[in-house]
Amino acid sequence: MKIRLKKLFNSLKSKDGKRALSVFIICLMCSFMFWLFIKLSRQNLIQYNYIVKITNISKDYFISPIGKSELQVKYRTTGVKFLFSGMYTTSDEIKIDFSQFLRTRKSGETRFYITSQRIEQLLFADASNNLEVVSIWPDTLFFSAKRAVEKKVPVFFDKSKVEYSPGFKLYGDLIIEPDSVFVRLLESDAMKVDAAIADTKSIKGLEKNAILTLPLILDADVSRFEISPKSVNVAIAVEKYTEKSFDVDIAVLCNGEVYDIEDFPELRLLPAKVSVNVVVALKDYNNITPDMFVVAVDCNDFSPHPKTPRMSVSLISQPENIFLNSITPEKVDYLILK
Amino acid sequence: MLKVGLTGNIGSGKTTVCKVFETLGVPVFYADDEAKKVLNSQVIINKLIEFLGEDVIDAAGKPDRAKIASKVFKDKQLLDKLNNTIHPVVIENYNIWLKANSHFPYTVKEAAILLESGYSKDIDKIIVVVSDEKTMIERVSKRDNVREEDVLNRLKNQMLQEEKVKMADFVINNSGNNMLIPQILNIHESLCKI
Repeated sequence: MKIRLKKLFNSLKSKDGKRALSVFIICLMCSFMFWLFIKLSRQNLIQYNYIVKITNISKDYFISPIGKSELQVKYRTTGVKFLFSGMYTTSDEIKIDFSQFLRTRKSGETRFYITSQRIEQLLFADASNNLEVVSIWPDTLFFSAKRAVEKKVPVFFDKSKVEYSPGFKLYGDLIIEPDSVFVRLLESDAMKVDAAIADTKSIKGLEKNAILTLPLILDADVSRFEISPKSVNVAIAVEKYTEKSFDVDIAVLCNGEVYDIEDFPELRLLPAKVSVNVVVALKDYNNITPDMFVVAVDCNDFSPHPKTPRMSVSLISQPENIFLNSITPEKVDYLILK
Repeated sequence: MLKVGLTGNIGSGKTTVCKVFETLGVPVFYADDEAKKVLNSQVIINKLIEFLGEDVIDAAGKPDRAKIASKVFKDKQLLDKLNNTIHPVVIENYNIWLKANSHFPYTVKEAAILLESGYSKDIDKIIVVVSDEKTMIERVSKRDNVREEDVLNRLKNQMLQEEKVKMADFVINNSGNNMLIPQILNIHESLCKI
C-alpha cells in the first residue's frame, strides 16, 4: 500500500501527472457548484419564532398580552433567496408600532389586536427579504389595555432607616435630587400612591460623607407602575458624635414665650438647674456651650395647691445637629412664695 | 492646592451646592458668613455707626442686618463703603483658613460677590451657580421672609448672571428640573484631575 501511494505521488510530480490533477480538481469544483445550485434552488420551509415588542405605546395605557405574545412565522423560500435575505443575521424580535393595533372592547375591557395579515404586511415591509410567508401563528395577537395615569409625587427618604457605624450620625440636612418624581400607574391605583420612597436597604455601616444613588419604590403595593426617574441622588453628611453634658438654668415657658426665673420672684425651683446630656458632633464639641440650650418648665403646670409640687422640664431650643440624651432630673420641685 | 471660587446671585442655590462639595470632603469657606461674624465685631460696629447712622444698631448693640441691607442695597456708594470696611478683614481670615486646609487637592470659597468685590483675584477656578429669576426671587423671599420687591432690589445691585457666566470656568444650572449633584460630581472630577 505504502509503495502504491509513493508511486502515485511520484507520478503527480511529472508533467502529465500535474495536468491530470488539475483536470480532476476542476471537475470536482464544477460538480460541487452544480450540487450547490440544485440545493439552493430547491424550495424549503423555514420557521422563525418572533417575540413581539410593541413600540410607542400610548402613555394612557398599560398593555399586557392576552395569551401568547410570540409569533411563529413559516416562510417558503429557496436557498438563494434565503442567503440574500439576510434573515439569519436579524434578531428574533419583531417590533410593532402601537398605532398599527386596532381597538375593541370586550366585557367592558379595552383590548388592542393585530391580525396576521397586518403582521405579514409589516414583515414584508420591514424585512425586505423576498420571502413568502406561508403561515403566521397565532393569527391574531390580543393585548389588554388598562387605563394609566401619571402623577407627580414627592420623594421620601426615611433618615431613621440609614444604618451608621457606631458613634456616627447624620450631620445637617440631606440633599435629595430630585425631590419629586413622576409615577405612571393604573388609574385604579392612583389614589393609593402618595410618595416614592428612596430604598435605603443598601446603606449600611455609614461613617463618612457619601453621595448615593438610591432606587425608588412606592409607598403602596400596586401591580403596575413606572417611576421616572427610577432613582434619586442623596448627599449625606456624616460625622462622629460624642456625649457632652451641661448644667443649664431652668427658664419658664409661658404662652409660647420664654422668661428667666427672675421674672417670677414668687417662684422657686428645686433644683434651679438641670443637667442636659446631649450627643454632639466631634467637630462642634468645643463650640457648643450651655447658653445655646433653653430648658423650661411650663407656667400652665403651676398649681396653687398641688398634691405633688413637681413640674416636668423640657428642652425648648438647642443648636443644630445635637441629639438629646437626657435631662436630669426630668422633674423639679417648686414653691410658690406667698 | 487649587483655590476655587463659587459665586452666584442671591437665591441661586450656592449654599446647597457648597453642602454637596462638603459632602465630597472639600473644605468650603463661607465668605458671607465670615462677613456676618466680622460685622458683629466692635471695631466694625463703630465704623458702621459713622457712615450708616446709629439706627442700624439694635437695642442689644448688635448690627441690624435688615436695616443695613435696606440702606445699602438702595445706595451703591454706601454698599461700596460697607464692602471696603468688611472685606479686608474677611480676606485676612480666609488666608488663615487656607493655610489650615492646604493639604486638600482644592478648596472652595463661597461668596455672593466674588467677582464684583475682587475676591476672585487669587482664585484659580471660578464656579458660577445660575438659576432663573423667578426661582431666585421665590427662594429668597421664602428663606429671608422678605417681599419680592426687596429681592429684586438686591438682585439689581448684583452683576448680571450672563456676565458672571462669561467669567466662569464651570457653570452649575440650578433652575427647573436640572439636577445639581451630577453637575457637581462632574466638576469635582475635573478639579481633582487638575
